[in-house]
Amino acid sequence: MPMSMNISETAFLRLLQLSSATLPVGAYAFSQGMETAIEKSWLTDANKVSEWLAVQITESQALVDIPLLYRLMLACNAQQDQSLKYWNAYALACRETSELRLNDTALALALVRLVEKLDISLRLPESQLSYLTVFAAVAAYWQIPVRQAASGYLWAWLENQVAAATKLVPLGQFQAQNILADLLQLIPPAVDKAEKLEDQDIGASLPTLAMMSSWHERQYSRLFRS
Amino acid sequence: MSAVKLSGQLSEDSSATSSEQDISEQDVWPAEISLVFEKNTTKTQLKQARHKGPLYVQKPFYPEGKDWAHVYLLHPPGGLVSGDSLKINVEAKANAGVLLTTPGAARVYRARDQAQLRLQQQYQRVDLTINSGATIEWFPLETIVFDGAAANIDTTIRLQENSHFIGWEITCFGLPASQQPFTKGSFRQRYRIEQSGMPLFIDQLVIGDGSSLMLESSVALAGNTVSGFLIAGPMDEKIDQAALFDQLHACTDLLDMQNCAAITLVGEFIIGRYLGHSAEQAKQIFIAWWGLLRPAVIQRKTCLPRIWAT
Repeated sequence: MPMSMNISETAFLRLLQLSSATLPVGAYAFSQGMETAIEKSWLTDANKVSEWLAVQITESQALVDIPLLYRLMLACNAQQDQSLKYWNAYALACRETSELRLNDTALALALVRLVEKLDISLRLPESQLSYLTVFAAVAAYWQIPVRQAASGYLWAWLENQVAAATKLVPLGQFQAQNILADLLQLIPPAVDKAEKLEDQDIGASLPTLAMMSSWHERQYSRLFRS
Repeated sequence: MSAVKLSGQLSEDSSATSSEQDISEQDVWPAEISLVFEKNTTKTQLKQARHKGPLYVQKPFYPEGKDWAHVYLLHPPGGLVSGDSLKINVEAKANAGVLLTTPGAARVYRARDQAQLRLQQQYQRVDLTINSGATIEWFPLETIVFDGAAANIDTTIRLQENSHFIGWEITCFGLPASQQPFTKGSFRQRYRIEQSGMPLFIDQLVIGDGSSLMLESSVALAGNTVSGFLIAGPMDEKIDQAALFDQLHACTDLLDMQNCAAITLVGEFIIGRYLGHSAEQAKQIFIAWWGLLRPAVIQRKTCLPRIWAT
């Protein structure tokens, strides 16, 4: 049972802060291809949105973001700069489209600016940064255990996607809460799966998501930046 | 062996492939080829070609001048059965220019039931090393994955500073035109590009054993039977990206593929994708995009390999 792992009360509260929808990094501006999927009537109701998100958790987040978060936090805790640089590049290399990469790098920049304001000094690579890298560095700095950091990261992603769907489909508030209640149950097994992954198995491919996200770049009228 | 035509792969009859038969140990057929290309002052030459088992190349062709070698990679068995492994290693030394293609579709047949994993799985591994100033273009024809296959396809491209790569990968799941859809089996395709040891592009399509989730899910293959991508880069910094993308999109529109083709820029690499039901259609849009990308990436006009026209 993951929550039987020790987490100090302060670290727990820091995790809530880091994974809150009000964290000012601008995540709300990115739908990650969902805006196009809804515009094209590919996602028309709560069930379809739920499936769209569930498969991203089990077949992409569990195979890319979460195993990378583990490696990035390990590198931060051990102050292995070269390893941090490598896994940061790996995270960016897994972003499938221009906008998905923009999403990742824009959030990273915003979080870097925020932590500067909080007087936290992080050791980060000089290169372009993935949000995962900065999130990992902050989580390590605040001594949040990696398992909880992973759950928090996934929760924040999920909540943001459901918020985008709520605006776009649109969904009612209760429907949105239902999706969250259902899908958050996928988070612990996704983290379990991620924990078992070998380095060479990190990577994923969701072709329709990549197509929708590429098409979004050409979409005439857009509320979201991805 | 005869060159297989580019067209009609999906409607072929698979009855001749004997994928149903039991395969014994001596049928397992590992094959490996290692090619090294070097450029002297004017010519890209095939300097070294070593092979084991049924993987060959013909002498290079030079349809666009001596500096650019066109090479056809031949695998006479034409497909992989359980236990097979194909290894293709190509190195382009400094400033060499190489276009590699295959004369026919690659097939990954139904795997046999086999307790020993090593004898049940089917492997293909491609390693391309591209040295400074060199370019490799890697355009294998489509891979047809038969129902019940156990495919492991691994492609690694190693770039240095100032080297370039253009390539595509087209995968057909099953033979739907012959009522042989891909419904079970496993497929794992890893595609990785790195530069000076750092990852630039990672794509890994994994279809788990006995699960139709990735085949059917709205966010994954969504019932499509042909998936492919074209990747080209790094882009010349001086190129007007907006103008290039206008042209690329115009291509898509002209071919009326707005609903099955999409193209984007990730870092310095352009990635075009196809998701639909026809390998022919995928090749059509990729070749059209290539016509714009080749000048943008390596300042050369396209020259279609002759074998594509046969």
